[in-house]
Amino acid sequence: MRNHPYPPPHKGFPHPQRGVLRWACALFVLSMAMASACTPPVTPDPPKPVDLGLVITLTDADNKILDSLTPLGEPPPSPSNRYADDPKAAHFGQFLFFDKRLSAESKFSCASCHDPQKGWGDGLPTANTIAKGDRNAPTVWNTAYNRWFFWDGRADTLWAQATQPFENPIEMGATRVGLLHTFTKEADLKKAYEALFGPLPDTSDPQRFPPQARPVSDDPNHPHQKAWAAMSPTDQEAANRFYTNIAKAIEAFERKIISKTSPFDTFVAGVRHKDPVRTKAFSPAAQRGLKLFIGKAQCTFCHFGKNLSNSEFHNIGLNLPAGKSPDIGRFDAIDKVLKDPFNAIGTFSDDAAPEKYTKLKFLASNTEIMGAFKTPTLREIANTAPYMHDGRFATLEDVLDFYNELPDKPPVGHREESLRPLQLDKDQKADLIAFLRSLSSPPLPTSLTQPPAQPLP
Amino acid sequence: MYTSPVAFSRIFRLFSIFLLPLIAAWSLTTACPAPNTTPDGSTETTPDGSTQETMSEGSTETMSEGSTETTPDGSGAIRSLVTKEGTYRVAYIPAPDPIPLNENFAVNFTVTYADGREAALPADLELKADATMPAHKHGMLQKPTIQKETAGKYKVDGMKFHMPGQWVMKVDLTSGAKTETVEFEINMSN
Repeated sequence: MRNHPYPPPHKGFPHPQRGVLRWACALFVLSMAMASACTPPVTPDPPKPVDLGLVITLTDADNKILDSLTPLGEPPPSPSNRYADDPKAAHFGQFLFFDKRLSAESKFSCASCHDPQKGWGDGLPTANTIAKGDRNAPTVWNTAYNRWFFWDGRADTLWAQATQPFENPIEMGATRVGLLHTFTKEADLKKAYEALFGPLPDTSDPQRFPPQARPVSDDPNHPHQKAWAAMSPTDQEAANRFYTNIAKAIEAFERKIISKTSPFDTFVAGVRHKDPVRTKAFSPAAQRGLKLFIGKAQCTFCHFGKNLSNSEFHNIGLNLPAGKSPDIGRFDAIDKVLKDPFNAIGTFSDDAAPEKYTKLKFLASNTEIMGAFKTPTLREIANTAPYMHDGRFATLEDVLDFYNELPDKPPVGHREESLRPLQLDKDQKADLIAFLRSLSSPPLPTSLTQPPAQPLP
Repeated sequence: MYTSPVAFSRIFRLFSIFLLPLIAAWSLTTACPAPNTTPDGSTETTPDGSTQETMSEGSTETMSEGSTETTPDGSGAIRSLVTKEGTYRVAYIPAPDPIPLNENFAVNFTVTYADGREAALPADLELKADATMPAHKHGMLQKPTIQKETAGKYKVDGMKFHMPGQWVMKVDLTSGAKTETVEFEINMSN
């Protein structure tokens, strides 16, 4: 057998190289395993940023504020009114809202000062029906979100608010007992009322139910007060029950006057969902105005919450117009709301848990609220001119000019010290107004803006 | 070119001993980069629709002076202070917690001596609490009620911070003719 020119093959690597190689292989396998474990899972490339058409930067803080402002959502419940969300009561309330028979000489209705075609206000600086008042007729838009009612908050529920204009001598001039007679006489009103609330009291005895009677707390010699005082407590209670029932029906209607989705709401929803269709519909000017609104202009000090109002009271330092007396606003209202027999802790409240109702419990009349008025909602603000509690500013431009310079000194109390002249330039004011105009929503259906043909559906 | 099996095995051994560990080390370093450290992972929306890291903001509660105790919820809020005069320590827990903006809330106070002793507090020790916004030069729009529950335990009901911004809750403790004070700073945001 021929010798092979090469050494015989080993059956393995000779020691010690064989051991080193084994360790090297083991280390390699272990390292690759660890590397494999550490390697992040393969993910597709991150999605390309969506072009939302934004011209502003929204920080986390900005987004948190926006979350607190939109969407409007459902109005809070009204536990003191068992009819608040009753559709039949709302229909009847709508009928009454437009019915002039509820005024002294059938000349005025709620809609006289709260005209759907005028932003649910009257377009006047101050209300003017039987006589001219001192304050602007507030809009009914989104009033169900309010904590307090009237500019000074002298009513704590919407139905309690609705009781007052009927008997105000310069507004509708009626009396609760006079209205009771009207409802007894008018067949359509009687039928609808009794279908909802039960039988009207028998008012056929004029000794028990005089033609006109109402409490007039500040004038014991007023004929209406004398007639009221002559009534028995039982008959007074019956008249009050009737009176509060029709007010509760009106609240049920007014709870339907709610803004739909505004361009502002749509824009914020678009940002949240990264939907350029919704965001690009919002103009650059409105975007810049939004940034000012939640930033430099500090509007959200008071105009916060879903209804763009804290529903509390501030003295913004408006001066005293010539020929006017100082209006102390909220300071004068604390006692009124606490003593209001129709407040939410009174006999006519339907609240089953009044002990949980704390709105009135801690009220205090102090200098903080001297000359203060309620923060109005800014939703629909472009449609609810004129502005301020006395309607002194005809346009939003006038309002911004005031905040831009704060030229006035209040006749009573002191101005909210957080207010500083905004010092916005012309373009910034235009941007802020563009944003304010974006708070208007599409019109309500005519089924809500016109009187129904019949009191009940 | 012919390569003998012996030479091939030597080349393979060299590769195995020296290059495999190097390849493994490179794999480890590239596969496990140091993670990016971000403050809180918050983001902001920029005009081009992208997001970037920012610091978040929110409600915080701090104190003028005193201890650095934090609240049970770990939010960093400081709710325990020694009075400026040094006799008492006041701790509070709001209800609901955290304090809601523009809504009524209650505050449960616990008073001890500054060193933590609960026993033998003055029997006539009274607590009063109020809150103001110094920058706005106004206080709350309502008057809270105060109830002494047991020695050192007080409940204040009916507080309401109706605006965002810096509030100062002032607590007065009075025994006899002596009043000691502590002030908690509370920042409310929208």
